[in-house]
Amino acid sequence: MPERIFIKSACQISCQSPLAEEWIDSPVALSGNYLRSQDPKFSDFIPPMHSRRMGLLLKRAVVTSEVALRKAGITVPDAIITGTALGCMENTEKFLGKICREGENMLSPTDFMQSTHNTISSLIAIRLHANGYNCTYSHGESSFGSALLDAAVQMRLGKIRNALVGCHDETTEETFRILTHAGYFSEGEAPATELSVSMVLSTDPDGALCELRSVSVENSHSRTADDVYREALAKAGLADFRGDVKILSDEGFSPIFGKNLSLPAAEVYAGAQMVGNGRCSVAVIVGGSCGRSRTVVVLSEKC
Amino acid sequence: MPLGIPIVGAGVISAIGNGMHRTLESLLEKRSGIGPVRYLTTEHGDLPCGEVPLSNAELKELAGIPQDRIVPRTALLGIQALHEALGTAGLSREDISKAAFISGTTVGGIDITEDRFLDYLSGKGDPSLILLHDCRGTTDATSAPFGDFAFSTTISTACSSAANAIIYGADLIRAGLFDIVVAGGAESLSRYHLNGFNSLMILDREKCRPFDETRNGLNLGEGAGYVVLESPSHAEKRGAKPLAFLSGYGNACDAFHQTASSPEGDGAFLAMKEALQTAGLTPSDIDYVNAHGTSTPNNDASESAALRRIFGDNMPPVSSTKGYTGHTTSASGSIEAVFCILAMREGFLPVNIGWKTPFEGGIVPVHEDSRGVRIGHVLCNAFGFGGNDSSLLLSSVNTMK
Repeated sequence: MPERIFIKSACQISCQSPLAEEWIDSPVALSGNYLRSQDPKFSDFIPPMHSRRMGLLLKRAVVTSEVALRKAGITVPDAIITGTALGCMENTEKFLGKICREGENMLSPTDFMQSTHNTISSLIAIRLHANGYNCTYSHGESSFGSALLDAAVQMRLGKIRNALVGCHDETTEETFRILTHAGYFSEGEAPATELSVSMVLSTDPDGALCELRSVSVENSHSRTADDVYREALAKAGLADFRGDVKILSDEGFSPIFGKNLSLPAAEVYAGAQMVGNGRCSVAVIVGGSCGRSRTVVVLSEKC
Repeated sequence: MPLGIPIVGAGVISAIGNGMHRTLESLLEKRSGIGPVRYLTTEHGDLPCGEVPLSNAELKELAGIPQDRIVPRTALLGIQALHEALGTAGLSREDISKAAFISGTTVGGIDITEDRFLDYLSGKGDPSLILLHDCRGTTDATSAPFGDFAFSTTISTACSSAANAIIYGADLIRAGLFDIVVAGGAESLSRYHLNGFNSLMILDREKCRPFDETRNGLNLGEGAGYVVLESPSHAEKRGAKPLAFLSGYGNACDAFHQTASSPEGDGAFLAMKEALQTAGLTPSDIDYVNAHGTSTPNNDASESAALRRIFGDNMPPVSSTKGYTGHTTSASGSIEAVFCILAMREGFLPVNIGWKTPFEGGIVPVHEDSRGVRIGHVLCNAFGFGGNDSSLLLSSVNTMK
């Protein structure tokens, strides 16, 4: 304690080109107020026999997870830890819609089974035959931060050597309509989007994109962004660091990835790629700051 | 830091009582809380459930919440258990502001949404209520009356959510991130998951009979349970008296099927094995197992197989308390952890009500009254859909002296 932790790989399916980092140099300009993700060709990754009964979010989660694991050179991770603010909404809405419109008889269980939040983590475990630690966090925009913190804690306690950590949320048409009604999405702001992000954490630095120096999730909103930033660097042992530091915030990243409860996961993914590509030495992510809690993550070059 | 984390506070509400005192009476008197639903609106009124015998209006009155405010029932139940847990631990607002709150739920505020879903879709209804739908909305509504925790999160691993919340809480303490963590879970009945379980054809139309040859499914229940975990040094400094200790735990994945358990109970076996290992104990140290024991043919067979793999021919007393409360799903892990604390402190083994005849390969659960029993270490199992299997190892205060 404390063991050093590295991010070996990270990938995304979003409104940007899927499973690629083209957004760094030539991001797709977002327009309108609602954008679905650019999905890869799922049959390149999942045999149609297997994907037939998976909803869209499950397919995205499986693909980003398996690509991240392959890039990290890991077949079966020690732990699978997932964040999802709302789970598989497509299935939830189908099951709920049937109950509300047709009553409580003649319901089929498939949509119900896929609507529990932990269906993502467990499906990945079933596919990988992963019997290790498995957990799911559903806590708004800090779902990902909670999952990342858990992975870091498991590693620091020496319980695991590596972990698949992901965050997945979809915005169906119905979800978009309802969350617009609730005021979460609004015109003139970044468009409503969807995100699926997976990354592999490991105590092994070999081939890693960057080092995870610190992660915290906090409820307090009383402190200024400047205080949060300074404290995060101090906590990461970088108080006196005078090199190239980039601050990644919701304001900076919603023009690229849109508005979504999984946005902090995209910010950590982006920070890992930018440090990994030598775009900066240190990245400080202050995510979810417009919500009720913020996720603060510090990444640095491996040294 | 070795395990042995003091549990300095606890609170519980279920169909058999609001608070530890009433709960203990019901357990000792073998009083089941399962029966017809009174408050849940459903076409399946013939399905027995373990409903908490308090209306939302009564729960609001108990909590001092204005009647016109809409609060998910999950949070209303959570508030009762959290109030008792914080009270028994003697936590001040100042303590709470430095503590973490980890709550498990899956249903969240869907009881609010299922009454208004079609309205929401057509842009009608109070839009602010939508924000109560997700799991976080419920967790925040549960803790709101008690002040601001430094960190809150929600674990959603179906029926092992509360057990995993306790595990995460313990790890946060062991990693030195917090001195006090309040952890557990809450879940109310909803049309949504009553119908979900019904569509899976795992609900019994009679009262459930865990581990019995004729068992034919579960009865859903509801409730909440929270425990207050505190680092040993902080507890000592504060003069907090432990009710029991959390001395081990395991989280494993069955990785077999989305809604069924493997025949040999791989996930359950691994979770119990890890709990014993982390506690530095052997199977012969275990004096009681509170089984997950849902009363579905699949769970009870799979869990029996896992128990045999751990204990062989030296099976300790085992019982399921689902016959009292029904299956309280996401909250079951913490509700039953509180039952275990009560059993250790009062020296009794909860009788597995509903059981008559063993099935081939099944364990024979506790079926006779026993008082004055010395219970040092217990395992408390909670397994969820997707194979999210967890086991807590709780120890009495006497074992730590």
